[in-house]
Order: sequence, then C-alpha cells, then structure tokens
Amino acid sequence: MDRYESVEVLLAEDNPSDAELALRAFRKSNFANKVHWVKDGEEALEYVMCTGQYADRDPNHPPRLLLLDLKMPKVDGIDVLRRIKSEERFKTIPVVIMTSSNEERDVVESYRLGVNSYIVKPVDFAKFVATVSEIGMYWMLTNRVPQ
Amino acid sequence: MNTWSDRTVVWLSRLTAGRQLGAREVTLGFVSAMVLLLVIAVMSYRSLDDFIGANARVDRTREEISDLEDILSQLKDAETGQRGFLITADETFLEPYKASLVRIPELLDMVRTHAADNGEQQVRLSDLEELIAQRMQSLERGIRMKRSNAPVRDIRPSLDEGKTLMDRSRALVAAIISDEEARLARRAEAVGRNAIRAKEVIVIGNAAALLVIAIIFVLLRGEVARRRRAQHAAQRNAEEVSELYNNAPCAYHSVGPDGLLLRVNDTWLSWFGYTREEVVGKLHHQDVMTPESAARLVALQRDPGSPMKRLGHVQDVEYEYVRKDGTRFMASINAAIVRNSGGDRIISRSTLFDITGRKRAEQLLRESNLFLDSVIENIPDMIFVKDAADLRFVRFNRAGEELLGYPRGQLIGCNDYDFFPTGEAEAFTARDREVLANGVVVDIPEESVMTRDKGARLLHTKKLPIVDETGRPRYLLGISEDITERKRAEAEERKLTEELRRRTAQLEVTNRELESFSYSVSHDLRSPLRAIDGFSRMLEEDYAERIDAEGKRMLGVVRENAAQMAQLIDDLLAFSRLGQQPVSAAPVDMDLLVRDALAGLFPGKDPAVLGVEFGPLPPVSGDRNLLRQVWVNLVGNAIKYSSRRETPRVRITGRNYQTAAGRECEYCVEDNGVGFDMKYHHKLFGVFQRLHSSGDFPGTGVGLAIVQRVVTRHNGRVWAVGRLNEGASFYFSLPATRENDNGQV
Repeated sequence: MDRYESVEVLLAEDNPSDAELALRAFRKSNFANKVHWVKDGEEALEYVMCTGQYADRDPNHPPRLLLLDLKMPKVDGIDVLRRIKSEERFKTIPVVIMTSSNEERDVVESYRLGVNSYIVKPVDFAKFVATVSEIGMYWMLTNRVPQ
Repeated sequence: MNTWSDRTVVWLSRLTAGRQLGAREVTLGFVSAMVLLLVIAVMSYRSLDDFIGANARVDRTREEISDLEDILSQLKDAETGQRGFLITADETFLEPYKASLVRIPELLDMVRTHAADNGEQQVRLSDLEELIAQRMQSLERGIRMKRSNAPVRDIRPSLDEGKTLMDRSRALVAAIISDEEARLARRAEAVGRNAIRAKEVIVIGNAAALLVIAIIFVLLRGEVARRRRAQHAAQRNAEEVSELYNNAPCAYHSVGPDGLLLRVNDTWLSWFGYTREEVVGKLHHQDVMTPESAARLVALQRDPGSPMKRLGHVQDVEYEYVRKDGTRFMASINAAIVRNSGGDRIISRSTLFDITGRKRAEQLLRESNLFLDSVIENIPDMIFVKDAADLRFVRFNRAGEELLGYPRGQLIGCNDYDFFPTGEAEAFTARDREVLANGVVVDIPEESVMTRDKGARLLHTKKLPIVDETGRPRYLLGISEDITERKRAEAEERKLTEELRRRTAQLEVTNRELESFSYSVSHDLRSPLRAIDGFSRMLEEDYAERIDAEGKRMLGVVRENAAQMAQLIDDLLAFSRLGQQPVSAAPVDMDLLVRDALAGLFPGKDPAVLGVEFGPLPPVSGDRNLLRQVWVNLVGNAIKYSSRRETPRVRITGRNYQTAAGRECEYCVEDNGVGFDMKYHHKLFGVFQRLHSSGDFPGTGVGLAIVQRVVTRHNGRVWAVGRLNEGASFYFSLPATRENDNGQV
C-alpha cells in the first residue's frame, strides 16, 4: 500500500512560509491532498527516484508535476532539474521552476536544461494565489503528458 | 761591291762591337795608317828611283856601247880616209881622219864618264885609249910619209901595224861592251827584284792601311751614330724636362735678386690666369698674394733668422694667392735659394702646390670629426673605446665621464683595473677578450659597475670590435646604458602591477560577492516580503470578523510597505544590472522609442491627453532597451511631477549640433510640474536620493540614477535645470551617429 498513491504534485520548497502560501493556494484550487511538500533538492530527488526515505515508494507512480524552487539547501533546484532531465525515465515529468529569482541567467540555464515552465513568484499574495492556481489547473488538467 | 763592303762593315762592326772609340784610338789609328802610307810612299819612291836609275844606267851603257862602237867607227873612218889619201894623195880623203882626231877623244871622255863607277872598265878604257893613240900615231906617220913622198914600201909596215892595232882595239871594245852588257843584265835583274818587292810592299801596305782606315771608319761611323743618338736623347730629355717643367702638376717660379719673377711654368700661368708677358720681370712674388700673405712673406724675407736665410730653403709654407680675376686659392710653397760660385744669391726657385682641395677636405674632415665628436659626446649613453692590444681606454664621452665620475683625462690611457674593483675589472676584461677573439657583438643585458660618485650602477652594455682594413680588431667599442633607474622603475612597476593584479583579483572577488549578494537580494529578500503580504492577507481572510477597521488599516499599511520594499528591491536590482550588462550599439529612432515608452507607461492612452507633446527627435546609435528605460524614467517623472497641475504639460524636444568633440544629439524633457530647488541639483541623480516624500509623489529614488548610468555608458551627459514650483527640464546628450551628420536616418 503506497501512502503517496494520491500524490500528483511534488512541491520542493525550503522556505516554510512560501510552502504554506503555496499549499494554501493549492487548497483554494482543491489540489491540496494531491500535493507533497519536500524541503530541499535532495529530498525531491529521493522522492522522484524512490531512494532514501522514499525507497518503499512505488516507482511506477511518478509525480505528474514537479514544482521546484531554485535556491534550496544541499541540492538546489537547478541540480534537481539537471538530474531529472538527464534520466530517460524521468525526462517526461513536467518541471516548473517557481522562484523569487528574476535573474536572466537562471531563466536561461533552466530552459537550457529542459524546464517546462519558469514562474517568478509574485510578492503580492493575491497574484501569488492566482499564479499557483493557474499552474495547477494548466499542468494537471489542461496539459497532456505521455502515458 | 756594296754587298761586299756592307759585309765588311758588318764584320768589322762585329769585330769592334762594344768598343768605345776614344780620341787616342782614333789618333793612333790614323797615325799608324799614315805611317804605313808613308812607308809605302818612301818605298815606292825608292823603287821608282831604282828603276829610273837602272834605266839611266841602261841608257848610259847603251850610249857607252854606242860611243864605243862610234869610236871604232871613227877609227875605221880615219883609217879609210888615210888609205884614200895614201892612194890618191888627195887631201880631201883626210877629212874623216881629221874629224876623228877631234871626235874620238870626245867619245872616249864620254865613255870614261859613263863608266866612272867601274874601275875595271876604266882600266880597259885606258888600254883602249892607248891603243887608239897608237893607231892614230901610226896613221899620222903614214900621212907624213906620203906627204914626204915616201915610197909605198916605207909606208907598208905602218899599215900592217895599223891592222894589228885595229884588231886589238876591236877586241878591247867588244870586251868592254860585253862587260857593260853583263852589268846591264845584272842591274836589270836587281831592278826587277826591287820592283817586285816594292809591289809587294805597296800591296800589303795599302791593304793594311786600308784595313786600319776601314776599322777606324766603322768605329767612327758607330761613334757618330752613337753621338747622334745621344744627341737626340739629350734633346728629347731637354724637351721632356721642359714639358715636365711647364706642365708639372705644381706651379714653379723663379725670382731674381730684384724680387721680380724671372721664370714661371705654364701651370703657374694657368693657375693665376696671367700671360707670361704680364708676369715675367713685372710682378713680385708678393704681388699675387693676399695682403695678409704678402705681409707675411715680406716679413719673412726681412727676417735675418728665417729658415730661408739660415738654411737656404723653406718647405710647406702656406700662403693665400690671388688670381688675376681676384679669386683666391691656398698653396703650399717650397723654395730654395740658388747661389753663384761666389756665394751670392742669384735667384730663388719655388714650387707651389694648390692645397685648396686639401684645405677644403681638411675643413670637411674637421667638420665631420666635429660632428661625429658632437654626436658621440651627446649620446646619453656611455661610449668608450679601448685599444684592442692592451685594452686601455682611448676614447670616452661625456656621459661616460659623468657615469664613472672621472674626467676623461684620468680615464684615457688607463684600463679597467685602474678604476674598478678587481672582480669587476676581470669580468669586463674577459668580455673584452671574448669580443675581440670572436669578432662579434656581445650584448650584456645587465652588468654592475662601481662608480666613484654614484655607487654601484647597473649597465646594459654592448661591446663590439672595430676592425682595420685587414679584418684584425683594432679597437673595442663599448656602449653602456645606465639602466639603474629603469630597473628600479621596472621593479617599482612590477610591484605596482602585482598590487594592481592583487586588487583586481580582490575586486573580482568583491564583484562576485556583490553579484551573489544581489542574487540573494532578488531571491531571499522577496520571500519574507511575500510571507508578510501573504500572511497579512491570510490574517484578513481567516480572522476577518475579529479584526476591526483600524486593525484592517494597519494590516493594509503592512502590506503597502511590503509592496514598497519589493519595488525598491526590483529597482535596485535593475540599477545594479545596468553596470554589468554590455551596451549594444544600433541605430535607434528616438521618435518611435518615445512613443513606445509612453505606450508602456500608459497603455492605450493618447499622449495628447496626458499633456505630452514632442517634436521630431534626431536618431542616435545606442542600446535600444536601455535608452527606452531613460525615456520611461524621464517622461514618467515629468508626468508624475506635473500631475497636480490643472493643465499638465510635458514637452519633449531634440536637436543635434557640433561641439569640439564632434556632433552631439541633445534631448530635453520639460514639464511644468513642481520643479526643484537648484541647490539640491547635485542630489538629483544619486541612488535613493529623493527631493519629495513618497507621500507626495511615490518613488524609490532610483529612476534618475538609472538615467544617468545609461547615458554615461553611452558616453553622453545628463543634467537638469529647474525652479521650485515652476517646472523642470532634464537634458541628456549623446554622440551623434554618422547618419545624423548627413541629416539622414
């Protein structure tokens, strides 16, 4: 029995405030029970690759969306992106970078590594909620991925 | 004949070849030839004389014989006549008899005279005379008998006697004649022998004389030819000497005791431009000199102690001469006094050498040397020359003196050991030997030398051999540059460069830190703001019924400040990024850009409604995005600060003009807003500097700082003119593009 069976969105965010805001936004869009929050890049990779504390997770049930913060302890978002996009079996997982960084070089590097979307988190809460909601709607409902 | 004589001459010439013919030999030859001829003449004369004598004697003998025969005939005639008389007694018959009486003694005398030298004949003649006398007496007796009529018988004996006498006489005469004839024959034989000897003598003597004369002739002929040749040679010599005198490459003149020029050669005349007639006997030596030289010559002539007076000659005295046409030339003169046997000075002879060319060459050489000396002297590096043989200094320039601290008087003639520590001197000398041995330039990039006044100095020295025409090194040339200061400066520079490198590295580190800082700012500072805003909202939403109006207002202030802070961060990041990103350059249409900026600021609004008007703006070359930001900020400010006017007005103008640095485009944004006090002008463009509170006009104080940074990075200038409450004008100027110069876009 996989307790992550219902999880469809993996949120990698080291800042608990941002995570809470994001989760609140998902909750408003009724996605809350489908979101799993990890606190750094290492944990994100362990979840995706079913290693470490996620070793018993079902590898046949990858997340349908990976929301990555860039700046995280241990393994940052860029590294996570690079690892996932470099492995054939994870390549198809849509990855959306959601970060405070508006730096051009981060945007360029992310797209070079094959990111599916790059979102700058708005400071304004209303805009933030709207953005997160839009992301969830788009990638979970609108977008189609290979089966 | 010719051939023969020629051969003889040739032969004689061979015989006498190489013999010099002196007067004594000629005399001896002629004397011997004359003696020979004399001997021949004497002998000839004597031989002829003998011959003539012999002939005379033959004649005499013949006369004698004839006379003797005549005597016999007279006797017969006398006998015949007597007989006739005896027969006839006719006296006429006695005529022959009477004639013979006279004639016979005459004949006998003649015979006797002829045979005077012959004693034997004289005896015989005496006998004959006796016989004739007896016969004549016999005849006389007969005659006397007849006359006396003596009978015939008486006469007869006399007749017989007569006959005997006659026969005897005949025999005697025959003997005399025979003897004479024998003598004649003997004499003729002697004469013949003499004649043969004379002939031999004449022939041999003549031949000898002829030979002697021939030899003398040949010798004389040779001598004459030799003399003629010698004469020709002497003549040619004289001509050559004359030619040499006249056309010598130097001028000659002779001066008489009166000081006048006696004789000059053609060269002299051609040099001076006079004719001989104008010079000889008319000009003094000093007359063809410059006054200065003439004075010198005259003074010398008067000086009793002058070399001319003491030694009789002078050499290499230099005078300046004046040609007939007035031009001048320098000549060196050698002169000698010629004295007669009495020791009196008769003339002086002088040789002049034109030394104008030499003087000019000397002058050129002097100038050239002076020039080279001056070059060497003024070269700021030490130049020294050493003799290759002993490495002693022979030349030093001023820089060398100053460097080493010794005057060249002390340096020249000395070597390295006299001035430098032994170790240094040994090193220098070893290098010198190396240069001279290998014949190559040696470059010593750095060597230390101990100087007298300046301590140890570092030199960059080049040493090279100076070779003579045979390729053997004669001198060693050294060029030393004092690189002490340069080395010090280089060390200083290295230190500075090192420092700069260190600081640059530091700066790079700082920059990286700054970058990482701004990165953190952009990322990390926004998260708390988002949390503040988000949680304020969550508070409002979740606890709406428990928070009163004042609480909600306060939450609003919290969220407003968070938003303000977020804006500050964005502006600050934008400003800091300006310093890093490169500025591109492309033609920019400023009219379009201003419209674009306005559309961005106030989407969908007509500029006229906003009170913005703008004329044609000159295009420039620059970074479109950055320049757009300039317009956004300036126009945004103008609209913002004039927004409280009843009729806000913003005017945008542009022009281009020529400055000393080139064409520039100047743009101006003018508004009728609140303006500013010019005393705060300097704060306008500072980061976070504001002249109004954000309560009056919102803003972060970064906009004009960005404007200034963009314009500066385009090599332009920005400035502002304003009055409080009367509006402000913001100007910026940018270098014009070439297209602008032509008035085209």
